[in-house]
Amino acid sequence: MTQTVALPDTGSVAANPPSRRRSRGPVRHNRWLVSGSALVLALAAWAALAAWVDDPILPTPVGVGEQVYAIVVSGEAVANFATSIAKIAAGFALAMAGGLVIGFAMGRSRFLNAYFSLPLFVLGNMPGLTYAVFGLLIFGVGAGGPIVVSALVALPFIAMNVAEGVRSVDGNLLAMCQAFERRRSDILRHLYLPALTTFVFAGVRYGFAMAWKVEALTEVFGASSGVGFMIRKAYQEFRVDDMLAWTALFIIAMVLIERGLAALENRFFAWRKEIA
Amino acid sequence: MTVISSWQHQLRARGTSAGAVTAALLSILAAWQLAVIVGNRVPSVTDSIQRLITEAEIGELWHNLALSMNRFVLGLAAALIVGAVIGVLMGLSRLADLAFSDLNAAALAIPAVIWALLTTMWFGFGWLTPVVTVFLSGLPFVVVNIAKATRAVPADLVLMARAFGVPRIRVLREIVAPAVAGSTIAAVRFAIMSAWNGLLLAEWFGATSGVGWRARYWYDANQLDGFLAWVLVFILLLVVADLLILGPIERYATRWRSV
Repeated sequence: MTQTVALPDTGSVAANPPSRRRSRGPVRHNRWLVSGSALVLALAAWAALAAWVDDPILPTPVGVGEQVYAIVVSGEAVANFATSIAKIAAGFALAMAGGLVIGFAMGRSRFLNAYFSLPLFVLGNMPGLTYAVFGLLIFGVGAGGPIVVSALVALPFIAMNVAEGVRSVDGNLLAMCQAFERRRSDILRHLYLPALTTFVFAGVRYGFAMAWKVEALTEVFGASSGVGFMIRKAYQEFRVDDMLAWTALFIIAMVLIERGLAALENRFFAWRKEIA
Repeated sequence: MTVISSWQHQLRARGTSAGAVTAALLSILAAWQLAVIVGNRVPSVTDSIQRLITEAEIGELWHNLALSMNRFVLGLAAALIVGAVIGVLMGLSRLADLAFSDLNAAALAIPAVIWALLTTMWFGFGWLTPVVTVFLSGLPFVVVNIAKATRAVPADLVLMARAFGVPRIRVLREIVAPAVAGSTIAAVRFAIMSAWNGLLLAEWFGATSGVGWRARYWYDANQLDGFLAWVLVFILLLVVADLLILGPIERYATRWRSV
């Protein structure tokens, strides 16, 4: 019991570096070995299962790997991910504009905060299916549906975080700005902007993960290009290997973008040691 | 995760005036009405509610709800049990943490629709398709949050309690339970949200009964009032589960934090 309860502490190395420095070296060393071998084990289990089933309904990892390679080489991967990401980016721009306005209003007024809470809750928690169907019904198979859907999904996360950021602004500093008659743009630039960026980043990272899933879903229901459309094609042709290949690519792209955003965040907030 | 909880707190904050919520509800209805007038295909509020009443009268509402709830609870219970085992392992052992965390991150990235389509291809139109989809789309969220809950146990307090000979049951109740309550409830909440989404998709693509299938039935028949009636049911279920059941439980379990 003592052992098992005390162990997790080694996990939070950053919390108390001096006392844990000794255990840091070997733990670091094992990291890639352990997670790599877990991955290999999972793949081996999959391969064994596929060999046992022996049917195109459960392709082998090698078969899926070849499919991934074929998709990447043919240029389909880059083309479809580019169109999907472009739609999400457009949706995020809309969500950012709306989220800033709503979040600012929510941060400053108690009434508006209560007012927007319910609609944002419903927007943020509505099942993806309803978004996808409405996107298809209202906008058809064009790019409009996925763009508006990803904007609506991301909006609550950005708005809630902006509101939180506005609330975090030091009231004393605001009063001082007023006393020294700073211009409005100065207050926005030097007081609100630094306070908001951290919170907005958190909202963007979480909102992105949600928005991308729903955007792909919308493309499954109705689109003429994009990752979701390719997934639907695999389903209609009953090609499990194709579907798994696109899933693998989806995971890789998601992890890469997540890592990219995290790196960007570190870079942005390098001056704020306590956050980075 | 903090975003969601602040969301909840804001929604139920003491300052929340009933007036603001009423105004919000009225605005939603007004926006809907506007959509009815502007968009020519959007059915009106009264039509949708009328359709819902008809669905209840012919017995489709309760029948499909019961069927879906059955599948949902089955898959969710499996996800909670398996996820709790893996999560506790990850929280306790550094080795398990390293082994599972990358796999789990990958599982988190997979959208529910892929599980729904895959299970439809694998298991066909049976009860297994929605149950497995619910299980798979809920599992990674349970693992992440239970691992977090396990790590939140204050080891030094537990050690001190043992040194002073505090009985085990009191340690569990007064040290362990309050520390893990928040993340455990988050695990249940995220699992419910994600699994419900998965259930609807699985029933949409691979079932011949259940709420998702019924919504698709109206959609395929091009009767949008029927579809909207079911969307109302989905949203209502969500609000009830999250704001009226899990919310108060969470507030009760984490009341020591705000004091």
